Amino acid sequence: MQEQMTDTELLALFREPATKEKAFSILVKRYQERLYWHIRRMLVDHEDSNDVLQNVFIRVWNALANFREDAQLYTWLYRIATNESLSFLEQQKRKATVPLSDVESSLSNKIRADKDFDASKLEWKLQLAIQQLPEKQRLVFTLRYYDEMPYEEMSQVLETSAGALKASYHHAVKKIEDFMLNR
Amino acid sequence: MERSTEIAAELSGIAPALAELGVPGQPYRVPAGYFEQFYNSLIEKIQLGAEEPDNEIRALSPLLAGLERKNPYNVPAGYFDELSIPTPVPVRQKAPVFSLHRVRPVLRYAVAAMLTGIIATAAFFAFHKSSSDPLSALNAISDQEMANYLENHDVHWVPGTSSSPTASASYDDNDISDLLSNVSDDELEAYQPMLAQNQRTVN
Repeated sequence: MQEQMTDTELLALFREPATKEKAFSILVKRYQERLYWHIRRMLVDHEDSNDVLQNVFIRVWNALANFREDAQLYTWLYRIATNESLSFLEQQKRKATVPLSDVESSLSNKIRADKDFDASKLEWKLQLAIQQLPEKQRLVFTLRYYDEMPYEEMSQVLETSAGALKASYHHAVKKIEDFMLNR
Repeated sequence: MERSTEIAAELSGIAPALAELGVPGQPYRVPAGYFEQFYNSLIEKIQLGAEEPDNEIRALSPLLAGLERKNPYNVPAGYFDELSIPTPVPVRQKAPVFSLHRVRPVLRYAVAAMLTGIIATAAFFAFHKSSSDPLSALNAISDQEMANYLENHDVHWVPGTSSSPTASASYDDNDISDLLSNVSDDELEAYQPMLAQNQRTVN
């Protein structure tokens, strides 16, 4: 029953005080994993990702009643998750007062510090390659490569034209290929 | 067409070598039971933030919740009755103007004076070029004017003569004998006709 409920039905349920919490629990369970992995690929660290994911859903709890269904619910959620992740990275940069390149290399260091890290495995090398990308390209690449998001929906999440996103993905793939083959 | 196929085809088109490596999976792990417990920890956090202050403090610290909330501070008698906060009058202060080109005034005057001097000097030489040539100025003066000038300045010269007053020199006979001691008689005789001729030309 809950599995078949559409996002529109879920929103209607959320707007009723009696069923608000129930609707929210369905929504969280429906989207938590997708949003978690989207955040985790940006922040690398599990604890940071957990904090940001909780903040995302607290924002959703506060704003969902006023959500106008101009956009799809899931693109709206991705947008909140993306903005929260970028804000988190921005805060880290400000706190660290170190150059941008150092923060990016610290993300690579976090990957290497993961207890499961294995430099010989392709999937870990790919993560290191992704961290070399500029922030926007990293987002575009992970949304397309892992989440398989269509460019039209991605343009709603990142507020960028589909054409520009295609070009960005192209550049990102080329850089990753170079990293994977030459390092 | 499945989207995953579409994305794989797109990847092959952009980077065939990368596509050949295969599509690596997700290497990250999460703690066991994380997603199962996530909603409970989230809703607890939301409820904590949205709770009434009484319930919130009771949940956080029963000790503090049990204390009487009595204010220990006192104010002077009638303080709030007499309290009057004057309305601040907005003072319109003229905003200071800061020049974007901060050149010191003395320096500006110095540059202006220098430019004026250069222009004036250039103009002077441009307008007085012809009169500054001494030869052309002398040509314009008549012989009589020149004679008057020399007379006034105690220089004796008669128009029509070319002997220079500054060329006069006095020699005695001994000096002339010394000067001509190495000159042969033939040379002296040959010189005499030339001397007579020169005297005629001068006179």
